[in-house]
Amino acid sequence: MSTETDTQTDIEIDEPGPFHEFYEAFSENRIAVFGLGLLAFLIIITLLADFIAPYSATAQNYDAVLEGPSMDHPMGTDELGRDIFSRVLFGYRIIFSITVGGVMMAFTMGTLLGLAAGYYGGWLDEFLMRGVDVLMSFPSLILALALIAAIGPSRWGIALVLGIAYTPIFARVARSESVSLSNEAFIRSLEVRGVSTPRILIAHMFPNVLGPLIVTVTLQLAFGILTTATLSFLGVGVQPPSPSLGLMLADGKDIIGRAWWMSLFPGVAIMLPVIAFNTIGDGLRDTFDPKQVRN
Amino acid sequence: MARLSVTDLSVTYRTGDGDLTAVDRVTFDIQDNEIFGIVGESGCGKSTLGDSFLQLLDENGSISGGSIVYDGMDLAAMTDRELADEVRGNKISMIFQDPNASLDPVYTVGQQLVETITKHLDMNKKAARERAIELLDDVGIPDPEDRIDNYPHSFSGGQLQRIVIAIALSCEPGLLIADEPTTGLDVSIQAQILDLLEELAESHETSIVMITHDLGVVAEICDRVGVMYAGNMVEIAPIQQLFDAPRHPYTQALLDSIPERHGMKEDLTVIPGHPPDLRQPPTGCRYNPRCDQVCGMECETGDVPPTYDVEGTDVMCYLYDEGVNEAYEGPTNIVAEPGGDD
Repeated sequence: MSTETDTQTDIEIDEPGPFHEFYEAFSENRIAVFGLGLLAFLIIITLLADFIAPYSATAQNYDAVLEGPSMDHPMGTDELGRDIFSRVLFGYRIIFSITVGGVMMAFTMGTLLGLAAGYYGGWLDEFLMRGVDVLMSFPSLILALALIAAIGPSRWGIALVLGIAYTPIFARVARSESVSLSNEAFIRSLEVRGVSTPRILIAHMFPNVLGPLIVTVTLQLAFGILTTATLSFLGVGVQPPSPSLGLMLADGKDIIGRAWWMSLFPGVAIMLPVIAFNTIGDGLRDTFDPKQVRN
Repeated sequence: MARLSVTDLSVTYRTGDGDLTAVDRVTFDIQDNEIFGIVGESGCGKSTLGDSFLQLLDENGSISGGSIVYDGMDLAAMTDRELADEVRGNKISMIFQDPNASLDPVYTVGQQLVETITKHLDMNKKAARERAIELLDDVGIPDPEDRIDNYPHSFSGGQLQRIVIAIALSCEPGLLIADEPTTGLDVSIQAQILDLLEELAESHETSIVMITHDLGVVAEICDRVGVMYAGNMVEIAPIQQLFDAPRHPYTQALLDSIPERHGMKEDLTVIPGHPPDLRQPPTGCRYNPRCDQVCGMECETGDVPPTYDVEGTDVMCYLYDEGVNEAYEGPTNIVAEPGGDD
């Protein structure tokens, strides 16, 4: 009996959880861990915006127009007397929901297209990938502007535009992984066992290509934040009076000499999640990269 | 009774420099509960032949003629979809060379067994899991109740090949195609896997096609053997007869080149020359440029030789035709002309 228990313990030592090795490797990357902490902080303040924000995002106060940072208004107020700190917090909500929605849409569509293209090969691959090339040949911002001009600016419109503009990136990553995976013996033996093609694609190929795709997701989230902010900055993004970090930056730029806080704080606010996503993405890429030598 | 009848099967690959007939009008039967070996050197078409049964050929390859009849169905005429639904994994399954790559790394072996069992047999997950444990026990995995929840990476190569065999046999197929199943394993494990296959073939009443370049493997477990050269099945014989009285000059040369048959001091015999380029195969017998027993004009001209029955061995060689080889004294029994019936 006791020997059996001993063997049991041995097996458990030999086989740590599937995420153990991943965790070890990732946690060695200090910058990535910092990014993850920063992101966690941003997510928490965004979720708790209702409780943290001292004012409403749209409440105007003509007694406190263009006031600098103070105890009452930690980031100052804008030309309508709105509290910039509160607007940044609620602005995060909007920019995060748009970006995450858009990137997830691109992730879903791009991954499906890429996996199918890589697996089937032949004319389907050619057809899908040439379509992707066409989309890729437009700079994503220009493409986004054109699409918005067509469907009109709205919150979910921007998410949709991001979804379309980023689909090719996911399709390419998924396809390249799918092509090499399709030649693996285990995919072949699944076919031999009579497993259906949709099941092979979704249940077997997808989990095996998830690593590189997660890296792409994090990096695209960083770009997504920037693109969303850029669209707002250009006036075709989130429409006033909804708080938008890009638009706040644009509003502040003309009076930066008189009210530096109006553009500085929204600018920093845009920068923080971009840094967080980029550092996490780099960390994940190093972790997932099998060529990386770990000591 | 024949479980699988292959008749005049040809497989052609389209290449940049013209068509390549990798399998050329091959005819043979596999009997019930028989282990049939297919041997030949690299590029002779043996793997292509194995892949063609389930239409697993590469994109540029296709069955260009003949039939593969299993259980009343012509596999060569079926669509991919029909094969996936009715044949693959269910009636015919297949195992490959590299067991380490034959299982999905992100699922436990139990999940993969259950996936195959529930796909083909009318079983719920719980019953399928019990069957999976039984199967793992059958193939000699110790502690199957615990090991079933392990991922493939925690098994050794030999154990993985046992698991792959368990998956292949999970739905009681009538035929198992084993494409070089022991090539990546070390010698002692090879012998164990071969014993296991032999034992399971008997207990599950499964016929096995054993595709290999290793005559040792053939000698170990096969009942009958087909020797392939340049896309032709040049000789088919019961195992003992093949080793005792090889008929085709190629088989004779092949047997002479087995290291074990030579003393330490003798040089190893090698077959001179190279296999032909199948895009431009030689006229006559495909083996004639390397053959040391060319016996007449027919060897070097025209189509490939007919198949002769020589005391129970089917052999594609003019040596056994008194009309071509004047020195031949036995009876001439043509069993198949190269063109088949047409």
